[in-house]
Amino acid sequence: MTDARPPQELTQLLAAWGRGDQQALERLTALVYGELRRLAHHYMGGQSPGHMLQTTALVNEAYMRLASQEKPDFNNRAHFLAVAAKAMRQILVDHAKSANRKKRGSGAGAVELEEAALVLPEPAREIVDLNDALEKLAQLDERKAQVVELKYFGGLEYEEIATHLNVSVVTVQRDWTFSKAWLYSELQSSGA
Amino acid sequence: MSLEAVERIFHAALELPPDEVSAFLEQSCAGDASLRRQVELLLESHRQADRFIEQPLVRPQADAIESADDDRLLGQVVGQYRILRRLGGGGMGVVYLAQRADQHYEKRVAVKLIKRGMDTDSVLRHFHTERQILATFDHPNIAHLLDGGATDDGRPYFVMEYVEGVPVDAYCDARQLSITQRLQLFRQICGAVTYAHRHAVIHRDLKPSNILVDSDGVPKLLDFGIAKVLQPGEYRESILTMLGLRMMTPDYASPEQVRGEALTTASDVYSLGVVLYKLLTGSQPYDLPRTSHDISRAITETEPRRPSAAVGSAERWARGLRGDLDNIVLMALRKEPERRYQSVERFSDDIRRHLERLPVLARQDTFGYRAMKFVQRNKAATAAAVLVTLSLLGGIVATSWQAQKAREQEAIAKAAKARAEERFNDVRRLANSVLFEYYDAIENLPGATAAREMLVKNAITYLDSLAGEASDDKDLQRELAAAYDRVGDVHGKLFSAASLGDRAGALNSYMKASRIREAIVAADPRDQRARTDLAGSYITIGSQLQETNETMRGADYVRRGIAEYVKALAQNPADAQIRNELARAYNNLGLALEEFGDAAGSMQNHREALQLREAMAAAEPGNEKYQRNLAVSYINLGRAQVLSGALSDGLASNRAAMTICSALLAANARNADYRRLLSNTYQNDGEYRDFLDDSAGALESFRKKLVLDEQSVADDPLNAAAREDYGYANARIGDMLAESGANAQALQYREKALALYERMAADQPESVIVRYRTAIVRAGVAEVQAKLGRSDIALRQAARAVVQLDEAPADPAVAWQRALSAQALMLVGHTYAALKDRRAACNAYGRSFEMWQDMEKRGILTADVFQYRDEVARQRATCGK
Repeated sequence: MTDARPPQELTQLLAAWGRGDQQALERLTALVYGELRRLAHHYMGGQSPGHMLQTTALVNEAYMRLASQEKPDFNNRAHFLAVAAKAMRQILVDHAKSANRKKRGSGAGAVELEEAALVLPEPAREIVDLNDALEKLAQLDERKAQVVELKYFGGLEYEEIATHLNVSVVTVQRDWTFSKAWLYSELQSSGA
Repeated sequence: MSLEAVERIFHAALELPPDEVSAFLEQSCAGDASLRRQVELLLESHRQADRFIEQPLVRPQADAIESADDDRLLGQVVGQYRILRRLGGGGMGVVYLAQRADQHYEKRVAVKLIKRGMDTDSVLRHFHTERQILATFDHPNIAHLLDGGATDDGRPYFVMEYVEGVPVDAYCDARQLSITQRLQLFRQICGAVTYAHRHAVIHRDLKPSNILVDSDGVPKLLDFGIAKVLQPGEYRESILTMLGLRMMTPDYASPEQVRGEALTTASDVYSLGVVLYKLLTGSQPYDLPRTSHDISRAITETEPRRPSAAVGSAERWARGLRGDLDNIVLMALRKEPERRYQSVERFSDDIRRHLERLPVLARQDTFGYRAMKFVQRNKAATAAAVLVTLSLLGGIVATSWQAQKAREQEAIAKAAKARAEERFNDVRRLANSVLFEYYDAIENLPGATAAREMLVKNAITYLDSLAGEASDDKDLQRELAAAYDRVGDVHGKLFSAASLGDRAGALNSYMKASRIREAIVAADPRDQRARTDLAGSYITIGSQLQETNETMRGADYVRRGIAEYVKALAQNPADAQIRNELARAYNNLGLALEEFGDAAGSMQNHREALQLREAMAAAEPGNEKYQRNLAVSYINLGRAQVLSGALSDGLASNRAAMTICSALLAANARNADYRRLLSNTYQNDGEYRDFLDDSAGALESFRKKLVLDEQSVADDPLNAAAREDYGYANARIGDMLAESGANAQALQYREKALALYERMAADQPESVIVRYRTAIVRAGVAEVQAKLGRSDIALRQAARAVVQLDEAPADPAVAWQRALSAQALMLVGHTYAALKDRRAACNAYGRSFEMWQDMEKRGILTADVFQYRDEVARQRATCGK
């Protein structure tokens, strides 16, 4: 058996991240990501074969599992949700990309239809496009991209975002209004 | 560049009335045209963006939108019922008052519409199994569940007897009932729950709003069976999934429910305990915090206040609760299911004893118990708790073996035997708890890997020993199989934080589970549930193997799963769930075999799937989902037929799909999924006809595809998949026109396609396939430009296409990359040939020919590109040396 890092590090990682340790964030994200993947696998390959898995159900489940496993050090729900939002963004974008990759290969261009295992709430390519635009936004203004990540991928409310980013609710709202317009125009200018 | 200036002006402009904006921008941008352009663009985007990304991608709760949405249902007919008015909303959805639409009866019913986000298929599947049981329910205190189904937009609903009443807590308060009256009313409720438990149905969602009391004072329980129907897993029935995150107020949920573990009748005991607490004190056993995390901790860890301490200054009332009633309520509320009342009946009976002034069973917790809780609560000492648990297990196992011996000795006293059997069951429960509860409890404990592993191993050892002792006990065997599945899941993450998991270990456990299920099936071949469980086991193993690249072996297991489903279906031909699963398994095996290049096998499986789906669709002609599945099977069968050379069969299968999709789209003109599916059938039709050298027919089909794709892009301009489809349609129409010599027309379509692909390539520089397609479309533009005599443009485009191909990542083993390259080079060759540059043309044809030859050598040349290879070979033959 390997001496792999046990998952209880969650608490310490959260604390480390709270102190500004960016590496801790990466590892946290990996952890939540892993949990989501595991659950997805469990449902897809596990007890109900061919089961259509709703992302919403999957993510709620992962949230609950990780959140309720947590022990006392971990009180700030907003911080946890922020990690989950990041992981969720990653998993949805990964899934969307692989859905795109699978779509067409043959030279003649016939269509292969697969019965979706994971039901993406949005068309796959749109998620990927938005993700790319969001990365551009992050280059210009990190916090604005974070607001979008937390709200769109994480489903957090303005108040929760404000708590997590340690800014006022008004700032979050202004960031959101601006980012939404910016992303929209970015996608429009590259779109059809 | 910083956004600051842009942002400042943007926000300021948003505050202004529209007619002042222009002047403001003039002034604040101070002649900086670029700045002004950016702000204007953003302001315009702000106006257009509207609901863009406003809805979180994954949202825990969508109540606000839904209720507006739902009110559109007023006056509509759902199933056979016309919706009259809204009765209320709750965790799972909205409840409406409704009336039978066919006017056969005046009967009023309640229709419960489930919130979005539930998996409709699984809900309905569960509903069908549950309905048979629930239909037999006949109890004066249980509201009937009458019907269930799904609305046109796929949301499940349930139809229940309409009960005109108020929630039991409100009723008690409004009538100012005494403690004794409340207890008597509560015992009637217990009677109803007991009745259900005798029929093996657990309520799972008992709370005052599900217990209505009518004007005659008769309580009625609502929603029996619904909670279970709404929960997908076998033993991971987490109400939390169902409740979503933010709306979670699991005031009445038991600790095992909060943790998402197996629910038993003991969970209903707990929820009834909370209900009684509420009736006696007017409050909840815990002050539930606001956040979900803290809530679940409160429920799983905090000890409830004594009811008598929860009524504040009402001293006379408190005195009535102190002692017996405190103990009775707290006994129902114990954290560990096995330490609560063993049944609702016993719970109710203890209340009766109290009312009759007899001694009650409920006692305060013992010191030993509290000491144990203390250990469990202190993380640092949890290792000790593990040891305690293990030794406890050991002790009990020893007694259980004695119990088994006792069973054999007929002489033993009856009472002792009963006690021994109880111990036996204790072990069973405890071993299950180890797997399903304690494991989670210590999962996050630092350095506990060894302890965790030991715990799991021990639990399995105990279960193994039990199984050996009672191999004729089917329920036990079933449990054991479920436990092995659980160990398999646990293994997946046990040895690695990032869940890379120990696949071999997991596989081993899944295999054990399958072997137990094999034995159950062998012992009782008529046990259908065991058989479908076994089929599920095989398919789990199959997908595990496929993930570890043992694809062939994985396919074998999927085949075994199929074989079991087939047998189960033979026993029960009307079971739609099995049919559905079986069709799915066939379909997936068909797709997998196609990847291996086994077109015949693929065809065979798609045919099986098709047959099942045809029967399902025939039995329920109105079911669109069945129709859609049927179309998918036709499409996949058609593809397999074409790949195995049965072209006209493939064409016919695809046409059948086309007919179905047309009908679906006709009935749902705005349904993007149906539209895309229909577009796919036209695309295939075009490809197949092109393959049969019917380019006029192919052109017609691609044009039909274009119309559909154009509409998809118009409906949803940001949808990149639709854009890609649209680009492809243009390219293929261009190909067909070019083949027939209509060069001017071909140019239009190929240029349109090129523009679309160039934009896609800019959007997704990482997409290799888009780069290849851009190159091939560019070469096509060059070809027709050359034929139209525009040599400058043609040469430029041809050269660029070659550069693009050379720069694209290329793997000679990837068939589609090679095939697209070779086709693009062929078009480049045609371009130079039209411009009378024989040398350049022969050079391009030569490169293309080498690629085809190489593909043939590697065995990756497929029938669908033979025509291009032959064309290139012909051209090259004219080149001479």
